[in-house]
Order: sequence, then C-alpha cells, then structure tokens
Amino acid sequence: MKRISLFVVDDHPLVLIGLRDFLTAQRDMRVLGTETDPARVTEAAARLKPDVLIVDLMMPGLSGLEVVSRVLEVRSVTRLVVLSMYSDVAYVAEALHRGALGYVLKCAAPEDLLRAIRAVVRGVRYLSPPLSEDEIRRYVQRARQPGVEPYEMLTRREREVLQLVARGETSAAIAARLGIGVRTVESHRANLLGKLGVRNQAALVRYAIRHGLAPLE
Amino acid sequence: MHSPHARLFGPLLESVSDLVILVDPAGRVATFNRACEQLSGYRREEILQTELGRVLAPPCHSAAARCQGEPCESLWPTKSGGERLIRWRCSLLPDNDCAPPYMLCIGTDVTQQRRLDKQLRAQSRLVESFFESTLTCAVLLDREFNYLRVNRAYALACGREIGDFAGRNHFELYPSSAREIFEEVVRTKRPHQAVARPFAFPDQPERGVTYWDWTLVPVLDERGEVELLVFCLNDVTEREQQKQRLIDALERMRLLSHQIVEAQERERWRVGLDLHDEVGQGLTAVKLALRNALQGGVEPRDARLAGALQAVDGLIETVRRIALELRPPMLDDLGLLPALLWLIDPNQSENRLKVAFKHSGLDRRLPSAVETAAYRIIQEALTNIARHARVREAEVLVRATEETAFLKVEDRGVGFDLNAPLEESKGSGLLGMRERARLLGGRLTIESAPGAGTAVTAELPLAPPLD
Repeated sequence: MKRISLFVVDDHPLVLIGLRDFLTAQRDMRVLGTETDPARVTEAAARLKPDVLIVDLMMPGLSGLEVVSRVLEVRSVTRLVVLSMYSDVAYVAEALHRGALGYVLKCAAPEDLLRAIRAVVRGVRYLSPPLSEDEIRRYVQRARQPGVEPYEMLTRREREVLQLVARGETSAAIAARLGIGVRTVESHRANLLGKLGVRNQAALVRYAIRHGLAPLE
Repeated sequence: MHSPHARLFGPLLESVSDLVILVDPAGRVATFNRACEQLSGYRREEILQTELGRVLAPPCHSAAARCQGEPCESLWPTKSGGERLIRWRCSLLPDNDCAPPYMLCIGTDVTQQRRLDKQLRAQSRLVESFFESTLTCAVLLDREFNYLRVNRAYALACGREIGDFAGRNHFELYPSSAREIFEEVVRTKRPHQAVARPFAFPDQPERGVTYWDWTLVPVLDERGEVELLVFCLNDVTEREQQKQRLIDALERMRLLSHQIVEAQERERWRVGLDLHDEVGQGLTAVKLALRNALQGGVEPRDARLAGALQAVDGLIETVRRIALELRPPMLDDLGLLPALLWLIDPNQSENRLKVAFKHSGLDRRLPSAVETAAYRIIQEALTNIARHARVREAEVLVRATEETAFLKVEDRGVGFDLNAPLEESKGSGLLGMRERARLLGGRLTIESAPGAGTAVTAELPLAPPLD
C-alpha cells in the first residue's frame, strides 16, 4: 500500500514534533519533512513533492493562507489542509478560496486531522465539525454582492445639488433654493466631478440623466 | 493826449505776452496793452486816462518811486471778479529830474506758478511727515544700494541711530541673499514685494531669525533710468512666530490624535488576543476536564456537572465574541470585507439590526490604516443606529476605487437635530468617526434631521496624507 506522503508546517517546534509523531504513527502515512519557517515551505514542497501539506493558519511573517497560495503555484497537485484555531467562517471561506481542501480546527479531536488527510488525498473536501458546507455557501453568497454605483456614494446634499445641476440651474439659483452659499454649491459641484469620475459639468449633467437622477418635469 | 513813447512802441507792446502799463505823470493810465486786456478782462477804453487805482490795483501800493527797480507782487482783480497774482517790475521814465516822469510797469502773471509751488510744498511736507511718523520702516537707497536716507522706524528696528546709515551700503551692513532681488529690481525697473522673508541681524544674533514683509520700488529719472530705490519694510516676526506656534500646536494635536487612535487599536488587539489565547484556552481546558469527568467515573446523574459544562460553553462563546469585538482578527488577517461580513452577520444573536450591505472593489486588501478606519467608522455608525435610531434596518455601502474608499451608512430611523447638543457618548462617537477620516486626509459627512433618518458618508484616500 502506498502511504500518503506528508509535509507539516507550524511555527511552534513542540507542536510540530507532536504532529509529526502523531502522523508518523499512522500506518498509511509518512512524514517527508517539517518546517517552522513559512518562507521556506514553497521550496521544500517543490523538492519533496508531498501528497498533502498541513499548515498552521496563524504564523508570524507569512500567514498559512499565503503559504496555501504559494505552494499551489509551484505544485498544484499537492492537497492542502489548514490547521486553525479560528472557527469563523471568514477564515474557512478564505482558505478554501485560496485552494485549501481541508480545514481542521485545532480544538477538534486528533482523529479529525486524520479524517481530513484521508479525504483530501482523494480530492474530497473536509471541514472539521461544526463547520458546514452550507455555512460556507451562505457566507460566499453574502460576500458576493452586486456592485455599488458611484452615485450611490453621494451625500444627500450632493444628490440634491446634482439633481438641480441636471435641470440646468445655475449655482446661484441652487444656492438660493437650498439656502446655502454659492461657494458651498461650487464646492459640491467640484466634489461631484471627483466622486462620479466625470470631467466637466456637461458630463455631470449627462451622468445624472443617464442614471435617472434628473427627474424630467 | 498820447505820449510819444506809446506811439513809438505801440506795435511792439501789443505783441508781447508781458503786461505793460504806462502811467503818466498825473497818475493816469496812458498805455494798457493787449496782454493787460486779456488778463484783466477790461477793454482799453475803460482804463485809459483813468487813474490807475480806480479800476485796477496799482502795481505798487503808492508811489512808483518806492519800488523802483525792485520787483513786487500784487493781486489784480479781474473784471469777472477773479484775482490774478502779478509780479511787477516798475521804473520811472525818463530817468532824470528834467521832466515829470512816466512810470513803466511790466508784469508777469505768476498765479499758476505760485499755486503749483504751494502744492509742491504741501506735498513735500506731507511726504516728510509721513516718512518720519510712519511705523513702516522706510529707506531711500541709490542704485548701488547706498543709504541716502532712513526714517526713525528703520533706525529703531535696526537698533541704530538715523545718522549711522548715511553713506554706507545696505548689503555691507546687512549682507543677505536679497541682494539678487535688489539687482533684479534695478535691472528690470520693476518693483518687488516680499512676504515674511527671514533675516538674521549679524550684529544682533540674540534676536534670532526675524521676518519681514517688504517692498522695493525703483524711482526712475527723466531718462527712464533707475535713480533711487524706495525700500519699505514691516517687521512681521511676531506674526510669523505665532503662526509657527499655531502650526506646531496643530501638528502636535494631529500627532497626538493619531497616537491615541493607534494606541487604542493596539490595546484592543492585545486585550483581544489575551482574552482569546489565555482566557479562551483556559476555559477550553476546563471544558475538556469537565467532559472527561462526565464521561468518566463521576456519577452521571450529577446535573450540576452538566450545568457547569454548559456554563463553560457559554463563557467560551462570550469570551470569543468579546475578543472579536475588540478587534476582529479577520480585519488584520483577511481584510475589510470579511471583517464587515462578520460585523453585520445576521446569525450573530447580538446583531439586532438587519443590514443591507453592498460593496465594490473589496476583493483586494486596502492599506491597513484605511481598513481599520473604515471598519471603525461603519461599526460606530451601526452602533449609533442600534442605540438611537429606533429602527431595525440599516444600509451599508462601501466602494473602493484606485484612489479612494467611499463609505456610506444610512438608516430611516428617527434621526436627530445636528445643531442640538448631543449626549456625551453619542457626541464623542461622532467626533471619533470624523477624527478617523481626518487623520487619513479624508472627509466625513453626517446628515440627519428629526424624522429623516441619518446618513454618514465618508471618503478615505488610499494614499497616506502628505505631511
């Protein structure tokens, strides 16, 4: 039986030794190497070609997430398992987004890591309970949102000024109507150009009409 | 009866511009030339053969002999009611005792000239008194920058006597790089104005750097060449020092404000980490021990143990939440979007607000200072809504472009009067949001009115502000 070859990365040497011994004790696994310095992992992975690379999420210097991305760049067939103390879905989603296949909580039972390794080596995603695929899906949905149009970022006052500008009102007329100074109106108009990314007042009027911000009377 | 003299010289007398009057020995006017007519407005017929004093003031007050040879001046009334000042020179003809003498008076109108002289004198007195009494330091220099004259203010400002300057050169006394400007003024013949120009008196090092507003104006001669220079200065050292003190104070404020914000974030991060690592892991150990005890030899009916386990579970969750709230680690580890998604997560029982969240340009990391500021501003705005707006819904918009992160948090709650004093916690919260934006060189606008909800809009430039 071909044993699963492993490489383990954790910045705590004691944790690393514990993990190595625990994994080496499994009959279907062998540990090719370990590393405490995340910056040296990419080179080692390319050289040793492990089936599965296990990496701690939180390390000083380079985070485990970054290690995931870099290892997959040099060796895309390596399966990655992230070890983490964070159960927040944001971390899980980010790890999966970067290409990790397993996400194992440090507070989970040790057998959980073995289950993860045996799953990912077959290309099957594994998440420690209570993490669930549903939760990840919902999160990704929430993260993916329709974009925001520049005009939605205007202040209420800027929007009022824009509507009046689009109707062809002069700064003086707008100032009188809104009860503010002409200078203030001018500065709103200048800000509008910047916020909407248009070059001049004519383009401003066109923008307002195109986005239905200038109700026709 | 016409005098032979008058007949002889008639044509000549008519053509000269001088006033010519000939008075016969009886004191009557025998000659009254055209110039006299024009000036006085009287026609010859009205004057000839009358006694001179009847119509016109006599050139001399009384006897011609008195002013013989010496010029004298007198006011001449004109027919139209005016007055001219005439300078007369009178002499007796013939100049001997043989015959009764005629008196020849030749006059020049000096009215205009006197008026000009008077104006000139008045002006020069004015300039003089201005030069001496003004608090502005004033100096006249020749075109080689030698002192011609200085006023009292200048001498005082230099800590010298007025007499110390004459004949000395400005730049030998006070060498400075301004010499190039002076030479430029002479070359171009155009005045120069300097504002708050620093200068250190070489002879008074204890004064330190002084600051001066000054003007240098070239005065041209009739050929258009620079004849002299008028150099006027005002000591603005105090103004500049105050300005500098103000700038320094503002800079210190800015720095302090920045440090406070930084320290607060660091402290939150540290406490959060300690809570998570120390307290959280300790609680986890307790939980494991309790679970082992429950599964092991302890009497399983002991409900107190199960209750303790439940309590520990709750504590672990509470500690985790407090640690996250202090400073969510995803803000540092993953960026603004994951942190915001956590903040407004509807699954969190603490979140009573339903937040509609839209964003653009957050699929990348922004500068950490911007991410933190954006997160804190949105967090504060949402806290305010939850506490004061009496509404269950809010909208959060974030749009990051190449240069700027735009934020907007809006609700349709009760709003508030922006001009009314706020309770302290809310006021300081709004202040904190503004300060966050300001520290990044950005801008934050709060719009609200009773019944109209509240909108917080912010622009945070991604590039750090220039110092």
